[in-house]
This record gives sequence, structure tokens and C-alpha cells, in this order.
Amino acid sequence: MSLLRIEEVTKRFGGLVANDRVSFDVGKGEIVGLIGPNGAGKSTLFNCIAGYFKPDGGRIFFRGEEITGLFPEKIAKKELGRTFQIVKIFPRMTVLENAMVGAFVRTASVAGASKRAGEWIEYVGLSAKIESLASELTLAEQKWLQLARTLAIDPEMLLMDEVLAGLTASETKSAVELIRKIRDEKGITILIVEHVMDVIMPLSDRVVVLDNGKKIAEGTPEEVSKDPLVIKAYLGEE
Amino acid sequence: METEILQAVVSGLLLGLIYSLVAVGLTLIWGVMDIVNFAHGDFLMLGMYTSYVLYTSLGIDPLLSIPVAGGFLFVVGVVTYRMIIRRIMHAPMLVQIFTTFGMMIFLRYVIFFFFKPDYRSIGNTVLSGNVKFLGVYVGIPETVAALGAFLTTGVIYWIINHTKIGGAITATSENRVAAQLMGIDPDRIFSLSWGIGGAAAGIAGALLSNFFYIFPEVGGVFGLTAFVVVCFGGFGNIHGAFIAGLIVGLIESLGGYIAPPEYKHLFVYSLFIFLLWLRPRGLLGVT
Amino acid sequence: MAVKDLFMVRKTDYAPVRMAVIIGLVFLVLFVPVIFKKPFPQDLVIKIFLFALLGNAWNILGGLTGQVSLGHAMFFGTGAYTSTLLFLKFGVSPWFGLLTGAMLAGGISLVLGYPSFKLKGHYFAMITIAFGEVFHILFRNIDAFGGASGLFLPITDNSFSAFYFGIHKAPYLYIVFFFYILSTVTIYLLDRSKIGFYLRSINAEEDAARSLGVSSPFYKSIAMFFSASFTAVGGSFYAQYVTFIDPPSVFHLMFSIQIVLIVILGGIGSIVGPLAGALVLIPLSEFTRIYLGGTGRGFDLILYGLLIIVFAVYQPLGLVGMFGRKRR
Repeated sequence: MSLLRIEEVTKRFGGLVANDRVSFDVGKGEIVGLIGPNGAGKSTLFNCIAGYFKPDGGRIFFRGEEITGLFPEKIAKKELGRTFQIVKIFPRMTVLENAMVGAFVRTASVAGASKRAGEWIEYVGLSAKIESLASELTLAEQKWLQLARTLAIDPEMLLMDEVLAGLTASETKSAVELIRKIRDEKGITILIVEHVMDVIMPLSDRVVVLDNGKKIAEGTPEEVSKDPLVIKAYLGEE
Repeated sequence: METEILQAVVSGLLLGLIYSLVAVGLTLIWGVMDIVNFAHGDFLMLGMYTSYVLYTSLGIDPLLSIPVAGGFLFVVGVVTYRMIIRRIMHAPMLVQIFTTFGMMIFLRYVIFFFFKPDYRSIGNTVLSGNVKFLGVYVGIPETVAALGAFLTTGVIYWIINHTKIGGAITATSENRVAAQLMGIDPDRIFSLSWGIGGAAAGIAGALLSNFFYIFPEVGGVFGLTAFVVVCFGGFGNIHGAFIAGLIVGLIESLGGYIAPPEYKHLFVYSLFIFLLWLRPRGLLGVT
Repeated sequence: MAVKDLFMVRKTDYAPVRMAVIIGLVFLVLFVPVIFKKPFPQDLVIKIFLFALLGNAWNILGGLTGQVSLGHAMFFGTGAYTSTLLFLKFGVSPWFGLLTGAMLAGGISLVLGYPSFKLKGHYFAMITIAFGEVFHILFRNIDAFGGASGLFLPITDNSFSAFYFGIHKAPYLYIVFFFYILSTVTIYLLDRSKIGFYLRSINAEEDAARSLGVSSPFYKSIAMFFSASFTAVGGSFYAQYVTFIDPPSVFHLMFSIQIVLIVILGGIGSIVGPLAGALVLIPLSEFTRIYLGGTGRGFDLILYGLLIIVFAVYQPLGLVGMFGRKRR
């Protein structure tokens, strides 16, 4: 059974059709990559799934339950988490406090939230900076923080929006290891938008390709990289 | 009864033309640089007092004060931009709100200090009396003011849409970076926008001074009404501001006809509240 | 420090200022009625704590949650009028009236606030101005509420239960101080609780907060309720203290602005900011009023305007920001 089902999702902004009847599934435990040239509609789709945009057409199901058009906080409470492309950490709160905001979803106790937040901070490897203000972290560290914070809501599935942008080679390597760890150890399903091909192909079990709002290909990384439509979409962008 | 309604409609349209002018100034600033000028109503107030001072000290007819008020408030607008607004262009929205708010208070109470809260008016001038038009009495000052407002709005419209500098203003409001790359200096455009915006309010004030009471807090109602008009007509949209001004003037006037006149502003404010509540829920700013 | 990070100043960063203020506070309260037997200093201190209370109330919504209201006078006036009208028309104890006024203001804030929370920044500020004006116009024109002439509270026997002490200002001082402390403790507890975390997260990055399960309409409503009800408490107190209220004195836009100015001046993200601001602004306002002669020549407001501009542009963190030191 699929964990996340996207059915004919359509989103328009004025005359522009950002998502045009996009459909695909994500199965439990998978890492699915969502790729496509700039402007293909990937972030728009994420925002539709996560409740920030209301789709103009189509439906979205999570764990068999329809979540189309629900408020973002409701979707988060249903254990579908997301990170943001431009990191939206809470700058004047510490690393611990940032993560605690996520951890509070399960508890009202400050001590309890603090403990759970601490565990996730350790998991992503930020323990050394736990008392630092979030604004004092490097970009990579802020991304780990965003991840730890979102993991603290105990999601069954994560939507990751371009986590790797702006990272150095070694930071990217750590990021990929972490993402794998999250799926392998915690069993969290992941739908990830990425531009860095070298990274996303080896990482994903399956790949979905968008171009100009439409889904143009779906399959294993192997299959997709050989697909002539996909090649055209990317080469055409050059 | 019928003539009474017609009376209300005509007054509303006349007042509405003035609201349009005030709103055009406000929406220009808003559209070009995304700054909300809470002191806009008080620019209008300064225009009124300019007329008043020229009239009482030099005996100059308010009609002739119009260009003076316009020029003075143009300068006030530019100075405001250069000395204050420029420093807060990239500040958090809260800071921007408070800054123009502070200006509002400052201007209002400087005038209050010198002129006291007294309601003043400009008495017998060149324009006085009523005219009967379609069975309805309209004051000549009101009519001239409305016409003056209409003309000024037209001039501003013409400047924006049919001159080179107007094109530069439009370009800057749509895409500042691109405009810069084309050689347009945003700083000059901003100064100019504040100048035109101020002048519009000042001229409106001078036009009003012929028949409206002049007092320090007059900027409050006009300022808030201008916001309603801009909200209605679309931020940065001059056409919209013009039409919305007329509609708001009508609503106020008809509201004052249906209900006790003290409540007429309530109609406008309620419209404002419902407009803001019913705007489409634009969540998120990922882009 | 990035100007973007205007709110959520960490309270522990300002320990030196906080200690100084706490000590000054205790001194003020305990010793003022003893040292200063004349009514004027006592009146001054009462006003200081009243505005510090109002500032605290506003800060729950403005500083903690990031929603700037320029219409808080509507809650102040609601409190003042509710307790006064209940007493005048039904003989209800002013204490009960105070409680009722607080709840009523809280309720109104929820009704008006909920559809307004989706408005960002400027637009929220504007709609609060509109709300404030609506209240002002209504109370000015509805005769059942006293209309433009206002309401007088009758002179009764001095007693606590009647919430009236005649010429003795000390009881008023202790009462308003109590409410100020209550509001401070409330903010302190809120801030450290889950609610406070959530409010600060909404303030910083609302979208991110929602992605973590934070229902921003719900939590903003909580902040709103506390903010409005404490403001109303101040209003009821004011009515009992001055025994005369009318629309311009309790519903005016300038009153809303005074509250906001006190918080900005004092330090918007800080728990002692409102008190610091009141300590500076109230004496300033009172003295300019006296020395520049007559009621309301508006000089204090000219200063207000200048101060707002100067502080907004140059020192958005207020006095606390100027004198406090970051420990980090």
C-alpha cells in the first residue's frame, strides 16, 4: 500500500499552471527523488502536499486518509513532516529550543520536550552546539537543525526540499549518510527534491521527474536517466 | 426624498474624487517601495494649514495656495524620504510601521501645539455659494475641489503612464533590480515618489480648505480612509485607487444618509475590516 | 546583530538591567507612599504601574507573538466601561465588574482576532486601527453607554469592596502594583511554557512553526485573550481611580499609541521593557504637561513622535537594548 498518494494534483497561479495533473505514489520505507529543471513545479507540489497551497484540482492521500487542503499544522500532526528550501530556523532561539518546538507536538512538558529534542539533536550530530543560538550556526549546521527539529515531531514521512543546496562536498556526503540513516534506522519514508544528480540518483529507490508542471517520467534512477524525455528536458534547459 | 438620495450621491462622488487623489499618492508610494505611509493623512493636514496660513496672514485666496501647498508637500515628502525612510528601507516591518507612525504623531502635534485643537475655517473667498444642478444643491467650493482633485489625479496618471520618468517609476515598482540594471537610479525614483505622494495629499488638503474644517486631527480620518481606498483598489494600482475613491465616497455619503451622520465613517471602516478579512488566504512565501 | 531579529530578545541577556529594575520597583512601591505624602508623586507612580501593566499586556501579543496592535485602547475602554456601567446600572461590585470586563474584552478579542490573524504585519496593524476607531465612534454616539459626555462614578464610602478610597492613593497604588506583578508573572510563566515556545516560533517563522504542528490561529488567540483581558483590567482600574470616563480618554487612538510607545521605548522583547519605558515616558509626559502649561498643548506628544522615530530607526531594542548586555 502506498504511504503517500498524489492523484491528479493541479495548481494554478493566475495563468501559469505550476502543477498539471501530477500523479504518483510513495511506498512505505522508500526514498523517492523528485527532480526536474528549474520551474518544473517541484516546490509547488511540496507546498500542496504539506498544506501551504490548496490544490486547484486533484487529491492527496496519506496513510489512506485524504489530506488535500488541510492546514499545515494538521498535516504535521498526522506525522508528515517537511523541511524548507530556504532554512527557516528560529534565529533567536537556541538549537535546543528550536528542536523543542518540534518535540512539543507530543507533550506539554518542557522537560519532556527538552529530553526528546536533545536526543534528535544528538542524532543529527549537533550536540556540541546545543546551547548556541540558531543564528550563530553555519549553513550546514542550520540544515541539520532544521532536520532535527522536523524529526522531533516523530514523522512517518519526510518531505525534504533541496537540503543539499549550498553545501560543500564533504557536507553533502554527511547529509546523504544522514538521510540514509534516517530511512534505514528509523524507517522514515522520504520524498526528496534535489538538483544534484550525482547525489540523488544513488540515494533514491525511485525517481519522479517533473517538467513544466507535468510528470514526464517515473522509475528507477537507472531507467529515468536513460529516458529520452528526461534528457531532453534537462538538455533543453542548457 | 429622491432628491435627498441624489444629493447624497452627488456629495459622495465629489468627496470621492478627493479621496481618490489622496489615495493615489498613498498607493504610489506603496506600489513603488512597499512602504506604508501612516503619515499620509497628515500630509493632507499640512496642505490645509498651508492654505490657512497663507489666507490669514497674507490674504491669499485658497485657490492660489494650491500650487504652494503642492510644492511644499512635495518637498516634505522628499525630505521625509531622504532623512528617515531611506534608513529603514530594509528594516523589519515593525520598524517601518512605527517610523511613519511616529511621523504622523510628530506632524500632528507640532501643528496642535502651534494652532491648538480649534476648528478653523476659511470664510469668504472667491469661491462661495451654491449651484443648483439637476435639482440638487452643490457647493461651489466642493465642486471646484472635486474638479481640482480630478485634474490632479489625471496629471499624476499622465505622468506615470506617458512620460519617461513615469515609466522609470513603473519599472522600479515592478522590478527594482532590473530597473537598476537599465540605468534607473532607485534612490531618485523613491524620492520622486514620496514627493509626488506628498504633493497629492497636500493639494487635496488645499482643495479641501475652502470648505472643510481645518484642525490638527483631520489627517486621522482622511488617512484611514485613504487606506481603505488603497486596499479596495489594489496596492500600487492608480486606476483602482481612482475608482475605489469614488466608491468609498459614495458609501460614506449614503451611509450618512441612511444612518445618523455621526456613523458614516463606521460604514467605511466596516467595509475596510470585511475587505481585509475576506482577502484570499495567501499562505506561505516560499518563492 | 541582524535587525531582522527584533523580537525574542532573551531575557537572561539583560540580567543587570533586570536586577536594577526589580530593586527600583520594590523601592518605589513600598516606600513611595511613605516618603512622598503629597498626592502628585503617588499619582505618578500609579500611572507608571498602570502603563507598565498595559505595556505588559500589549507585549504578550506584540513582543512575544509578533502581532502589532495599534488598537488596544478598545480593550482598555471595554474594561473601563464594563465595570462602570455594571456598577451604575445594576449595582454590581466593581471587582466583579473588573473580572467581567476582562472576560468580555478577551471574548471580543477572540471574535475580532481570529479572522484577522491571517493578516500580516501592516495589514494587521491597520485593521486594529479600524477596530479602535469603530469602538470610539460607537461609544461616542450610543447614549445608553453615556455617549460623548461620559460617565461619572459616584463618591461612595471608602472601602476595599467598593474599590474606592477617596483621597487615599496608597491603596490604589498597591492594587495596580498587584496587577502589574500578576501580568509580569503571567508573561514569565507563559514564556517558559509550551505556549511561549510556540508563540515565539510563530513570531520568528510562522510557516516553519506550522510545519511542526503549531496551530498559529489557536496560539495567537491565546496570546490575544491574555493581552486583551489584562488591558481591560487596567481599564477598570483606571475607571475606579479617576471616577470619570469618556470615549476620548479611554478609546482614543493616541492612547493605543502611548501603550505601544512605552513598550518600544522600553524594549519590546523584554519582560521589564514596559516598566522601563513607563518609568521614562510617564514622568516625561507629566512634566511636559505641567511646565508647558495647560492641558494638552500636545508637547509631550511631539516628543512622543520624535522618540518613536528615533528609537525605531536607531535603537529598535529600546532602553533595555541600550543598557543591557548580551551574555553570549
